[in-house]
Amino acid sequence: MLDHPLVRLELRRARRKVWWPKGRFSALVVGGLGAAPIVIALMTLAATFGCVVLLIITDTAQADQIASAFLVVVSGIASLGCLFGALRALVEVGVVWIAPAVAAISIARERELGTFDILRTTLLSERSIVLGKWAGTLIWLWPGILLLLVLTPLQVIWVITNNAINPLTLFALGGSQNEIAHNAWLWGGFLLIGIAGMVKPWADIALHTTTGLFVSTLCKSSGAAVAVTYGALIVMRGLLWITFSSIRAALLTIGVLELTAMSIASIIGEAWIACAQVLLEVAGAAILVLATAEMLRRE
Amino acid sequence: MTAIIETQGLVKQYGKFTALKGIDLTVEEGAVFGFVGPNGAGKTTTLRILATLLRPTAGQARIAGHSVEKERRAVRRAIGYMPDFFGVYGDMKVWEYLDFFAACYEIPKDVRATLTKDLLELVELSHRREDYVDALSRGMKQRLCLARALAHDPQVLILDEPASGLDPRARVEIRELLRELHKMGKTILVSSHILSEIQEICTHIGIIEAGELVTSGTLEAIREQIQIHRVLRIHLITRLEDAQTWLAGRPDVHAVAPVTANGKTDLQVDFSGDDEALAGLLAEMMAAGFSVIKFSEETTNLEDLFMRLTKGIVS
Repeated sequence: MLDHPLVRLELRRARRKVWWPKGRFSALVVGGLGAAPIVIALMTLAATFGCVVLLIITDTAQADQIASAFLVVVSGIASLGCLFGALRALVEVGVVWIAPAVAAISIARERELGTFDILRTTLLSERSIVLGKWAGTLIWLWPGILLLLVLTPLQVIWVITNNAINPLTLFALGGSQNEIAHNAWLWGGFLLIGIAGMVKPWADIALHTTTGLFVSTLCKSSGAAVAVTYGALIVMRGLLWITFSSIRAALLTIGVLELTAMSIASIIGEAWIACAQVLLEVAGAAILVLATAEMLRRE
Repeated sequence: MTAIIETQGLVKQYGKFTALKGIDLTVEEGAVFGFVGPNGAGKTTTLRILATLLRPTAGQARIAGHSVEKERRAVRRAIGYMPDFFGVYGDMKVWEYLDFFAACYEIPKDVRATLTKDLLELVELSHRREDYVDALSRGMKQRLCLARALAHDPQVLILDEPASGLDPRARVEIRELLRELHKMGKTILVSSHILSEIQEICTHIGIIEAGELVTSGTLEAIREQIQIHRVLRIHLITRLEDAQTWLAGRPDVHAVAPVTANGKTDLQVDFSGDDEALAGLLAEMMAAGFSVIKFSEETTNLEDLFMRLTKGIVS
């Protein structure tokens, strides 16, 4: 994909753009922002798994003490990560909602400039053009995507070590084999919800950019493409919300989901709903890519 | 000569409006075919169909034996297309622009550097290689776009009004470039709404009006076609009115009118017939006792031809 002419074109353009003043200060800021979440994540991971190992090799009588010590260490580090968590949330919202505008102007702008017809008479297939334009859109979002990637380890840590579901608590609680299995199921359910949550922004970006591209092929002006894209996304988001709220309400009514109790069925149900939403968005994005290519082919 | 571009009954409808009403066009290999017609005649629609950018409502079009609908990739490999309104990536350097399109035509990376150099030499832009495309004049951009269309060495060039908006010098440069490409064996289909602009370089002409191909063929054939309607200028010393009546009574004369220029009155005659018939007319006038001192044919350039044809005189 990196060898795709459109990707190379956008890479060249992005490289020429001055994104950030050069110099030692910039390097320190970028380096610090990049390194801090990784360091925090590694420290938390080390603390967690260090404690798990200690629990396994030591007397279970000391389990409570070790678990408490672990929670103190982790919560200390987590408070540091809190700042980055907020930053990540901001970046996520920014990238997810700026992405459609960047995608919407990509093809419409080429039409305005009169370069698109020339591109379409080359040997690039319609699908290849759409994929190239999509990758080109992601290139222009690179600062946000990079920040998201850098801050992702913190989310991984949150998913694994969250108090309610961390493996340490799981082991520390001990109990019968049935109880451990029950807790393992719970932990698995939470893990699935966490993973779905981690993948969600990427699925959002995929859906929003492909929606932008689809609308972009329909519009002759980039301004109209941006406006229509946001309109379409608001409607799409509304429909998704109504659909999944209805599913959740139905499952609550029949007793599969529970609001207060933490049953395995309820957690697994929530996990499936979270995964279904992500899968639906990814499938939607793939369908939109194919539909955009087909629209170009039929013009 | 084999036909490299062929269309049969090409129809294109936009809603209720019919832009093309069954175009049958044949362009022979190696020809420079001038596709002429007034604005809105259907030239661009035809060229866009041939360039695989539009699908015809009915009819067929083939380039180098490939259907423009079913074998688009093969057609795209065979053609180099330059639209009437074209844009360039202004933020790219000249060589990058060509390199980008060469990559789009799947030309291997190691060949592209030499190819870019050769193309820039052909369109005389080597000295602007490292400049940004935005810094080029319109004429230079036009030449760059032409070089881009040649990147994959296509058999056929489809050029939609390549000289529009250019200053006289740039027009001459483009014309020379097209001559050069013709010598290289390329088949060129070039459209224009100004016939005089392309008549010097064309070997064949097709005239389109209101979505219909009024006429097409070699330049000579079309000139012969118009000779059926000849405009004569006859100057007589005396008996101008008698001659007018005498001529008006002939079946091969469609119209006679006195025309005054520089204080002298001539008869302008719309005559049908070949050179022999023309010589016969003069002999008969002399035999009838008319003192003819000037008997000449108005030269008909292609512009007049275009005006006549598109007014429906021939069609």
